[in-house]
Formats: sequence, structure tokens, C-alpha cells
Amino acid sequence: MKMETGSNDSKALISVRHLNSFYGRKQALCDVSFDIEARRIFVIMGMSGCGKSTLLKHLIGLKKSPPDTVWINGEDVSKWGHREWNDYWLRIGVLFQNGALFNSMTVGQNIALPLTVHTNLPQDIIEIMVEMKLHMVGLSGTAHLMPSQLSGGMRKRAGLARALAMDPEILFVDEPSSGLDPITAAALDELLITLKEVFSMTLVVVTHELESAFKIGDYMIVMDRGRIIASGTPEEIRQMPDSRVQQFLNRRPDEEQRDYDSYISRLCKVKRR
Amino acid sequence: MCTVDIKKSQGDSGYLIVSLSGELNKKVVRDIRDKIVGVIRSSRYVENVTVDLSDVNLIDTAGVALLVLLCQHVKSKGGTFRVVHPQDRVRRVFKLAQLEEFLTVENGNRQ
Repeated sequence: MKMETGSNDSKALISVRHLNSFYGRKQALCDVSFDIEARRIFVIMGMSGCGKSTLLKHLIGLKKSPPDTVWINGEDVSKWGHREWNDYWLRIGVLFQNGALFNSMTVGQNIALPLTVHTNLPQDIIEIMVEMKLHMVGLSGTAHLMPSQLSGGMRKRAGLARALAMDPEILFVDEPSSGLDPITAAALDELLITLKEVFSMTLVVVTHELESAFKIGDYMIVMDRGRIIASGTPEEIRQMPDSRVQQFLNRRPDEEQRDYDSYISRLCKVKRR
Repeated sequence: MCTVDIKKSQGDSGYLIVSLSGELNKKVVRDIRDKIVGVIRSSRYVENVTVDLSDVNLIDTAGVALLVLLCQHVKSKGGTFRVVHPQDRVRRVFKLAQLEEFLTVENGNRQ
């Protein structure tokens, strides 16, 4: 990975350089740098609260990035105005953790919405596209249902169908497997790989599911407490000796949490009233 | 950019050959649909439609939806519909949408 400051010579589709991010005074990202190549699946891994979703917000424009930190197609996004962001949003699809469907619309209307608003496609073509997208995610015949009639896993897949509505160049997926049974999750992984291959799509997947990450990822970063602690191909990540990486890969809880003596010691420090 | 060339058979035999080239995507689908449907409607009858995709290098799901729409239209009139010579990349999209059989996709790349 190149790590220049204040410039970006990378040919990557998305480049992040020395990105710091805050919620008030609390730092969520610390000196984060990486490149995302086109037509690859880039996986952002890490435990809950490590900054994965914050990073995703920077990449999709939901959180403002400081100058010279995030480049998309070689352009510094801090210089973008409404027009540039709107153009970008038409080129990307986003699957949020909870699916983020509009509850007052049917599943079909949810998926058709971006096509109706942003294209001049005839209604009959849109309706066929909606059915195709639902079929791809394994939800054929649910277009007439309301989101409240779907299970959590089905809502997630409907959210993916909507994220795919515009045939995006870049698909951002936040925790694709959460709330899905193992078989459905495996099918979703296969679909993500197929989308990359068939549509030459670039995918950015945020996940803490190790099996899924190693199955679909071409390149991955592992985050811990707002920092990148490892980056590389799945094979390279597996070989890394770093104890925090191995702790994550081997699903070992923090030593701190397992330290019974220090736990008891803390209990004893509580002053009696 | 996508261009369309439509050849009608002479006389009353009802054959239509639609040759597309370029990228068949959501930006061009409305225009392409209007041109093809216009020819079909102005014809006395159209029994058999063949869509030649040998020069289409990219297709998105809007392009596939257009072919589904045309296929439905022709079949509902009792005609036959087929798609010929899709490039591998295009064929993979049909496969993903599981529409190879419905659209009667035939032959590989002609080149």
C-alpha cells in the first residue's frame, strides 16, 4: 500500500490516507490508510466498535472527510459539492445493517424507488428488474409484501435487492451475514462473488464473520480500536504473527476480560457505603 | 452508447432480425424499446424475432429486462423469440438471472 501524505498517485478506485475521525472528542478512526482496487472484494474486518461502520460512512459520504484523506477515482472528496456527491451516489449501492427499507412501501416499491427517481426507464421494464433482483437474492414473489411481513434475514436480502437496483459500480455492504441462517449466508456470499465476476463490480464488505470474510475477500484489513492492525490478502492475514490479529482470527476474547484476578480486585476497590 | 439495426423479412413471412451493438444499459433501454416495438407494431404481423447480440459488449439488468419484455410480447402473439451470439460476458448475466432458457439463448460468440 502507498501511504503518501497530501497527495495521491494511486491508480486505486478508492484511496484513504491518514484518516482520523471523531465523534465529539472520542476518536473513532486513527491514521487509517488503504487502497481499494476496482473489480475486487475489499473486506473490512474487526470486532464490534472497532470503527468499521465509521469508516464505511466516510466512504459513502455520510460522514465528512478532512481534506487529502479520501480519494475516489483520484478526486479528493473533501472538494466535492452536491453535484459530485449525487453523481457518486448514483454509481454506488449500499446495504445497511438493518436493510433500511421504507416501512410504508412494499418490498417491490422499495426496490423500484431508485429506478423511478433516477432513470427514465419505463414502468414495465422497472417491474421486470425488480422481480429479477428479488430472484437473485432468493426472495421471488415477495414484491407485494410490506417490510413488516418479512423476517430479519428477508429484510436484509430485500435491502440487498434495493442496493442492486441501479446495477451499481461499487456495492458497499455492512454486515451481510448478520441475522441470516448459515445456508442463506453462504448463498449470499456466493452472490457477492458472482456479482463481482459477472458485472465487474467492486465490493466493499464490512464484516466480523471470519468464514465469510475469508471466503469472499480478495484483500482485507483488520481493525482494532480505530486503527488498522493488519492488511493483505486472506492468505497473508492468516500468516500474520501479530497477537491481536491472531486473537481476532482465533476468536479469543480480550485477556483483560478473562483476567479473573483483576476483576475481583476491581470489585474489592468499590467503596462500601 | 448502443445502436440498433432492424431487418424485416420481405413479404408476409413475419421475420424480424434485431442486431444490437455497444452497451445495452439503463441509459439507452427506453429508446431501443421504442424503436423495436415501433417496428413490431407497424408490421402486419411478426411471428419470429431474433436478437443478435454478437456486438453487444456490456449488458445490465435493464438491458436483460428489455429482452424479457420483447420475448413476452412476441410469445403472447404466438411467435418465437431467440437471442443469438451473446458474448461470454453477456451470457453470464443471463445465467445469473436464470433466463437462458426463457430467452432461448443460442450459440456462443460468433468471432
